[in-house]
Amino acid sequence: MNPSPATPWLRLAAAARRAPVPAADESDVRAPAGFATRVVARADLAPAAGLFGGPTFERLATRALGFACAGALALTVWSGLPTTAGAGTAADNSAVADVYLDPVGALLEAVES
Amino acid sequence: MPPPSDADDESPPDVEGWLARVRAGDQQAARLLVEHLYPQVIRIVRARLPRRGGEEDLAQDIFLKMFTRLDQYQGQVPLAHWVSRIAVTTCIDALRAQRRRPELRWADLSKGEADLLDAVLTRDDAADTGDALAAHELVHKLLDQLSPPDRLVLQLLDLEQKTLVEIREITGWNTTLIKVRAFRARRKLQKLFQQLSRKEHS
Repeated sequence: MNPSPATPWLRLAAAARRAPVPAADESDVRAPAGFATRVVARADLAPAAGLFGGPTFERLATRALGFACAGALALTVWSGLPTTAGAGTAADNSAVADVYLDPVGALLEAVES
Repeated sequence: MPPPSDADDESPPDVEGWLARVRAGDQQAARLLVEHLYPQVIRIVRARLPRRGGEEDLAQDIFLKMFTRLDQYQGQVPLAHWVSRIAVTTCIDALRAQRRRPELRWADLSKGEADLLDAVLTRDDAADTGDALAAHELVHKLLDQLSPPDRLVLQLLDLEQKTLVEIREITGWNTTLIKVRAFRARRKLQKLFQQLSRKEHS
């Protein structure tokens, strides 16, 4: 003989388990017509496109955008410095002219030195 | 070359083959995979959601999540288990999104439910004599008062009498978490019983 469950909840659950379960209708669990097609149409099933496809590349691209923005901002600030700080001698003016003519070269020179 | 006989009901489903083709962007294989998994998913949705409205929308969400996360599936567990975890998590999220039910009061119970509740609170043999349908209704009204994970763990453990291993496979929760959740959920129900009893007798 099984002992009676100890708590009201377990006694109630035991009573609920004896409730008749409706007979399973197998046709009721099949996918409705067109369901799979609708799902697949909404799903993004593009295959991973090697090196330049998939989430990894997307993450890298997002980071690269951040780096590009930061670089552009830094370059803008740096290229603005001579015009504000260096008003005066002809040498200063030629340095300013170099920066305007070849900003990338000037940047590389500054990094190397 | 003849087309692959995917729709042949006689042969066992080539789930691994479909998976490989889905990963390559094959929509036909994706449709076959959805149709193959739909019965399992819809059973989970129907068993876990108290209201049947919108079950097809929820099943659709589950499959969309499955396709989105397919690159995370490494084949360490059977695909059916992996999908069932997605389905369970989606159902829990849907239950959380539903408006919280108002507090259960004695006056909300039908006469049969009130008599049964009174019996289980006062008599040890109530499970043998109670009305099973009223018990079923009452149990679900009580479970509605719990959080979705608490509700799920008691439904699986005490009503469906699944083992810890089975619950772990369905939910992805570890055994300790299942035990702790069940313990806390039963304690909350115990408090609920006490509140109902106090209000009835006050």
